[in-house]
Amino acid sequence: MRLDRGTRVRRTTSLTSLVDVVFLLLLFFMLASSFSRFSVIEVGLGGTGAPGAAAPSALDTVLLSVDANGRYSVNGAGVETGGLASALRRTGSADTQRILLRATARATTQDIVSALEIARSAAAGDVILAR
Amino acid sequence: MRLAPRPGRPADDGIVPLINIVFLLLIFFLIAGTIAPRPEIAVAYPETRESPVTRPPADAVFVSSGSYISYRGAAVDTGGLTAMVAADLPRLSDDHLPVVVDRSLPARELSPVLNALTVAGVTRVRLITLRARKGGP
Repeated sequence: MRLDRGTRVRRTTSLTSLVDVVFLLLLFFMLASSFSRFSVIEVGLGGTGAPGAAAPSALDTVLLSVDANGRYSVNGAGVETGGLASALRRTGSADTQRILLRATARATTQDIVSALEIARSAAAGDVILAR
Repeated sequence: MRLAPRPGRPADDGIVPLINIVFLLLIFFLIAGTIAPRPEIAVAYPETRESPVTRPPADAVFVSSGSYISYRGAAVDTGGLTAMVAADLPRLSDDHLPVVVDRSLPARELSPVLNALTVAGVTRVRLITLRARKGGP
């Protein structure tokens, strides 16, 4: 069997299908990709956990109340946003306390997240979200 | 110096620079963008400023501002969430479930969701937020 080898191959035909595929890929990545930067805050839920794991009674519990508009109180004493980290560090360190974050009825998730970020960056103890 | 146009291939002259640009765009989106899963419900991420950056959340629990819960592409109620998360818990890496909560959700409506997760055996969650741009409000 003899295959006739084409002497005149037109380059434009293969180029067009290549462009098609590249366009499709481009379209896919333009629509599917996101340029948002996500970050993560780890928080404990307290509650059940494993029974008998890491006696929590060994640590003091600091109550951090979060109200709307960035009003906080640490163990009942109101603090401003700027003073929250130092107020948490004043009550103890990560070895001696854990922070129980409790939100008031008016607080939103954004308020909780803002307080969580401050409390975690203060490194003044593990933060547990009260329910 | 003038180069004489090559005879016989008028079609190539327009297409090759086009392909170059499209290739460049493709490479840009490949490198600069990350493919993010879209939740079935609209969720406005809370914003943070200095927490560590992470990849887009996969298989997160999404909670919208109207307390609608979506997990693994299905709308669930708190009871269904407990059942699904409890079934998935052995597979979850180090028990840290990613949770995306709408920033305007009132705190008292967040409690039932956290309760459902606790009943399922989750002890820690990873709250996923958007990293605010520097100099933003």
